[in-house]
Amino acid sequence: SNTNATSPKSSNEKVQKNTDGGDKNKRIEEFYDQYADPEDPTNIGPEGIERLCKDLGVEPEDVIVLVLAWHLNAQSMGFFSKKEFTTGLLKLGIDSLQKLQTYLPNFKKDLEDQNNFKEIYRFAFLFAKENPQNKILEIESACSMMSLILTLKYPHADKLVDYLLNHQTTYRGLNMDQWLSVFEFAKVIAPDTSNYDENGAWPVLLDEYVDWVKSKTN
Amino acid sequence: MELIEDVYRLCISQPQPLNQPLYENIQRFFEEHVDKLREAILTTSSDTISEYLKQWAKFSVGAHGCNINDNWVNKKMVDKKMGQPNVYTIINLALMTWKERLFHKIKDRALRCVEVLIQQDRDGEIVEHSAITQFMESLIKLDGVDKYLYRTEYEASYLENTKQFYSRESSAFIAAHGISNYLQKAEKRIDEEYHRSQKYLNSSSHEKLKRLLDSILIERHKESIHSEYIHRLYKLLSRIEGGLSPVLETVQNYIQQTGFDSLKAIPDKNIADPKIYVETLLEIYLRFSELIKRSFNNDVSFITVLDAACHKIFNQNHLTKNTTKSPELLAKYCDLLLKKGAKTTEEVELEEKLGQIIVLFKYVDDKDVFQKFYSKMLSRRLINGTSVSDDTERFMIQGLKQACGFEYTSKFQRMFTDITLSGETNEEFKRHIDMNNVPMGKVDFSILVLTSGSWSLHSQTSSFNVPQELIICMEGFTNYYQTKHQGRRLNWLHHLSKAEVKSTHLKKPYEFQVTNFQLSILLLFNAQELVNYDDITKLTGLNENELPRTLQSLLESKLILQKKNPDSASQEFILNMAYINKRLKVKVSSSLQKDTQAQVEETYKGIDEDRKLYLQASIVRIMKARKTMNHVALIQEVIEHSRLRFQPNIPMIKKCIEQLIEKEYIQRVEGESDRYNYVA
Repeated sequence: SNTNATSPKSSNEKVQKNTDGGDKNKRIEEFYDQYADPEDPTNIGPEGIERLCKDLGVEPEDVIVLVLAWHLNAQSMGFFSKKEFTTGLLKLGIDSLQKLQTYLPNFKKDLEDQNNFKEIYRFAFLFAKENPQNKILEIESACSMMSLILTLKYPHADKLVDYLLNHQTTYRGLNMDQWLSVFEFAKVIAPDTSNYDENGAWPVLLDEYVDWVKSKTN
Repeated sequence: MELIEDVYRLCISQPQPLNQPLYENIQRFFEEHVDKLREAILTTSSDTISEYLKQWAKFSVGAHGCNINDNWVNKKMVDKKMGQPNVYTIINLALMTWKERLFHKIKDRALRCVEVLIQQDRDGEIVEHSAITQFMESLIKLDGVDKYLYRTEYEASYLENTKQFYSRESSAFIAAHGISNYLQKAEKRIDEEYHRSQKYLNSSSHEKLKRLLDSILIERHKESIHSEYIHRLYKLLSRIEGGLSPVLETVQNYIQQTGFDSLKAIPDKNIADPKIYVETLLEIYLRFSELIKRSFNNDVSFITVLDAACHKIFNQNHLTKNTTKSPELLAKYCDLLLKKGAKTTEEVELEEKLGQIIVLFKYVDDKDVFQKFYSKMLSRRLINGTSVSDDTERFMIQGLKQACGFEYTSKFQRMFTDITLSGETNEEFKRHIDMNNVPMGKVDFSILVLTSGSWSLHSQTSSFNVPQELIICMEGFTNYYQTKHQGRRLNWLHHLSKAEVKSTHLKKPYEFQVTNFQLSILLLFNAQELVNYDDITKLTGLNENELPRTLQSLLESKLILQKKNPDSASQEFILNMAYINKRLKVKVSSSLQKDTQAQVEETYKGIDEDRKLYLQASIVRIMKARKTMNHVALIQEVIEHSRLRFQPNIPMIKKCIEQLIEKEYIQRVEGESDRYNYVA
């Protein structure tokens, strides 16, 4: 089904050679334990993530953190479960803070790859949802995710966010179809929307957005 | 100046003012003078009109002079006696004398003269027309003494002559030259007469002349114009390919324009009146379908044009822009016709009218709106037993079925079946009570068992504690029914139930027809004389919407009274022991009888929901068959699918597509922005 993000491919990463699988497991556990929530050791909580970011020298709001979450296939924002953290990092050949830090530039490259970029965008929808059962991502979360990722590449993103937050009341959240359509839209439609086909299959949400853009420029 | 002074002295002379003899002398003078002028006119060697105008010119100047000179006479006596018969100001005395002693004596001759001149004018001769104009104007100047003179003498004669002339001329012309030439002739004549009327008639007569000419030159020959001219035109043009297209277009535009104009002519306050609105549309349809029958042999292409025009008039007039008012009003008009108690029409006549409504119905875009409203009102007629007759109802449903198919009317049919079955159920239940001694209290109970889903009933308005007196019947019936039909669930619609209740507290034994809500309040007075608002709330269970309404209706009918008790915070009610009514059977009107705006909105909301479901079902059906489909093609097919029920708008279809994507019935094709796949 199209609501599941494909898990990140690790083919392009250099898997570091290790001599001792047991050591590795031990090291990653230690790495994990440094950040695990003392109240609930099955998780790294928001506080632990914040600390991890600080140690890595990145802001928690940095898109890099989202890419990390994507690699870990994290289920919900603000948390890495022990399983997500350990298996995810081992797949990348990482078992320490230092190795993770040296790996960070690769995350930047993920964003430059067109396919990965789209996968990360798709992942962001699932990741940011309040509850995995929900089919809808609340409009505020959707907008902050769009500001985080989509603005990197596409000029429509800021305007879309402005529209969704301040100029419409119909939609209180987006579904996956609307979320992905927004991506396609941002990718292919000119900033002045001149190449938008209103008889096309775009969701009504985007028809309305285009009307708004046009009414604003007139 | 001297003259004026002389008159003044005479008027104030002592001991007796001499104005009276002076007035009489002036009058005598006018009479003698006018008589002389008349003789001059009658014996003139030139024509009457010219001589008349010559004398009139002098006389009117003189009369005005006298009026100024004898102003003191006017002041002295005429003003005082104004309003008395036969006393005039000097000017009017002069004009009156002229009118009585001269005009009336020569008018036949003068008017004859005018007639001859106009005749010559019509025949194309050169005529001294200023004479006619001046003559006409001279009559208007006599306004002061006889404001009808122009109309009764001149205008009447002018119109009569015109009528005579054109009656003769038009018939003779048609006989001699045929209708095609006549059309040109008539057009020319109408134009000429317009210009003539500018010269020879006062503007107050122009409209009358126009109507006269229309009637004599056009209306009277309408039949021949249709049968010979238009029909011939049709016969000729229809022989060549494309020959009729310009005519078709003109006819269509004309019908449309006429339709829009007729609707615009309805005053705003009446436009949403179902009878006025529908009758107007019907009149347009009938008028033009008659024309097409007579002039165009009921040619298919003209019928198509009529259909297209009516379709447009019906769905896109100024009232229905972006609304679905037409089907709503059409359904409401049906209700007016099918409801008992409205003006009784003969059955044949009623069926004819209903047949015509079916014709209009075919033009409705949004048949689902009609269906919803019709179903609502049919429900009401059947439940309240207010149908004019079963046969007529069935006749109408049959017609709708023929126009729209079995499915469209299946719910209506099922409603009828429910009513019939309920009759049987009631009889069987009565036998069951008798045989098994089922306790029913003192209630004569009857019931309608309605299949849920088939009826359009407005939703429950309130919670309700069924009065003890009724519970026993409900239980009796529920037991009986559930044994008979296992697995069926009875859902009691208290807000639609009614009761008849007998009074014992009043002088006469009245029988009141009330709703069950009203009944529940009345029954409280069996136990206590005074009931307060909180008790009523508690005991009846009616909510804060329904209770005040129901109380209000009972207060308005004067069955109960509100007790004035300033000490009590809560409202208190007592029975009105002094209630009187001429009738013994009284229908207590309920507050819910009218279709409120909220109910209409609820209906429209229901229609919208139904449409979404219908569209989604269509999309799934189409996609299941095609597996993969382009967006535009899908939209088109969905519109085609729905055409017989309503005109879906594209955003609504798109939203339905999106909902189906969300529900994972269909999905977008990766990399192809305009294509969907069916998800099996």
